[in-house]
Amino acid sequence: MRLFIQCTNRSQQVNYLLSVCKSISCEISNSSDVINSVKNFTGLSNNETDDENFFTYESVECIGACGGAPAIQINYETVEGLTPDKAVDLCKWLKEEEPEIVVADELQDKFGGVKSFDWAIADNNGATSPVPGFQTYDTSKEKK
Amino acid sequence: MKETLLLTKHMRENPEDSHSLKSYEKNGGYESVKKVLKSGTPEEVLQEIKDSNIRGRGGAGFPTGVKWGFLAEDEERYLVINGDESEPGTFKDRILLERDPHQLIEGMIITCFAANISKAFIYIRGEYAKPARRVQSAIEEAYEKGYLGKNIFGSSMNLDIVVHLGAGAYICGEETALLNSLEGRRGEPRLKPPFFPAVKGLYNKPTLVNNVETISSVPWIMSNSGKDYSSLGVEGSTGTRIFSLSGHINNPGNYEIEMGSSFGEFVDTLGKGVKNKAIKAYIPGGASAPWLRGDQLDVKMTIDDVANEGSMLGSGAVVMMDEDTNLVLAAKSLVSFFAHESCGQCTPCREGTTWLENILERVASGRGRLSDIDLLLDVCDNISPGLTWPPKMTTICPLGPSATASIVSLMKDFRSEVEVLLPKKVVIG
Repeated sequence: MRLFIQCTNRSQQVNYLLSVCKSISCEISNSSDVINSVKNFTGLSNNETDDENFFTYESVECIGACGGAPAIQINYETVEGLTPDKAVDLCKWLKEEEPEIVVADELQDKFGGVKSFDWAIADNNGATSPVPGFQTYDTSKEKK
Repeated sequence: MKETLLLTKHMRENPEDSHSLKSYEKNGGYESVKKVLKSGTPEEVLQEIKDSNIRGRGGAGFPTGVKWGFLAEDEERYLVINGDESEPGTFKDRILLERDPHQLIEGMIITCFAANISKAFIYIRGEYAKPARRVQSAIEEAYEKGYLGKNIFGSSMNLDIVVHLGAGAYICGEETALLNSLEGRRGEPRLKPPFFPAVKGLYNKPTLVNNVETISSVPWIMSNSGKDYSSLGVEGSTGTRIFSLSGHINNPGNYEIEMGSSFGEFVDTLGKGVKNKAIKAYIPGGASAPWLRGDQLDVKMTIDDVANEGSMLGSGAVVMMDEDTNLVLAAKSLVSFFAHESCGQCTPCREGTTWLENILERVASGRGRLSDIDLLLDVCDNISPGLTWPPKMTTICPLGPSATASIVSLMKDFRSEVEVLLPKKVVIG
């Protein structure tokens, strides 16, 4: 059970929210290894933010990527079929590149593996902040 | 065994642009709604849905035609699409929202025509940012073309659709909690009676709450017929269903099949078998469903057959666990899920799930006590007296009683796995 006050996000705005899934399909597909590798790399425990306000780490319940377990979400953009090493690579890449827009398809190509289903056409839309939202951010337009 | 593609046909054949209006229309989309609006009556649509015998795809499996028939008369009524798919193991709505949003919109227009509704909502869980973006842009496309808004397709019908994003709570998948959340309140289930959505739903008006997959089936039923739909599958579980297969499986994914074949056949043919191992246990219908054993793979995939085995087909999430799986950790993962997602309204669920999590945690880490098995079952019994399935309720919604399912399965069929973790009985003297 969560109290309301626990559910409100009181930390400062961060660049990237790392949410690793720990529910059943991910759990039996060794998500605990991914969780440990991400925790080790960032030095964060659950619901913690680092000093530079760059990463916040959380272990979350099912994010609907069970076919591609284990899975992670960066600012609510899903990447499926991770391994512990790829998860660390992903964090390193975020640290180096600091992308303004997190695009699921781009990350999946670089670091993902097995997918829940065929994602079909690549999507240029992504998230600009760690807030669930469905505004359209089309990166292809900005590049022009 | 082969897939029968009704809902996923368009997205399979047009992978590069199945989510766009252009592609959907080119492949016969929006034809059935045009036909219905031109020459159909609401009664005819309702009759077709009743003929199809389609049962709700969200989990409870309530006949959709009957649900539509219950909707009370009022000058204002609403349709709410439940896209808060959060049951661990389920990812079928995600593919429907992401790859074929226009099919859902067409289904919604037909549903609203049949029920005389002019305002509809799609409630999508917060984690589904990408599907929500796709649905939103599909709705914008439809508005531009005049398929939504005032005088749809030149008829007298008006319809507005609003997409609402949840904040990631499992409980908001329960229809009355969803309505609370949509109204801006805390996502806590309402007491039934009096708050049956069909009578007192959203803003106290009669409201239809249907799953994404259910409404996405409506265009196919209307462009063919209810009888065609009911000829697929078996009696009591007609039509096709999208099963989400995950876990220790070679070929996980969403598969649309006619109901009626066995789990073993499904796993071996479409799932391409389990990775080098035998199956120890499997979950036939999402986290809330009691487990079945590896030797029960010949159970038929129908709502009634699975119910006869003491479990449920639920949301259609099939999770396979091979012989190396630590079932105590699996049960702990499931119980932690329910403990985390309990809304806290009812004491048995709020306190019980937390206790179950704590006790199982200490058992799994080797600090268990001899009495822990009895204690776990006792706590379960306080949440759901008698430990039967379907469970007896002590709570407003079925979340609490569902949390006991995995523990009861563990104790019933795999007790020895728990016992080895507990200390040996010491006899003195």
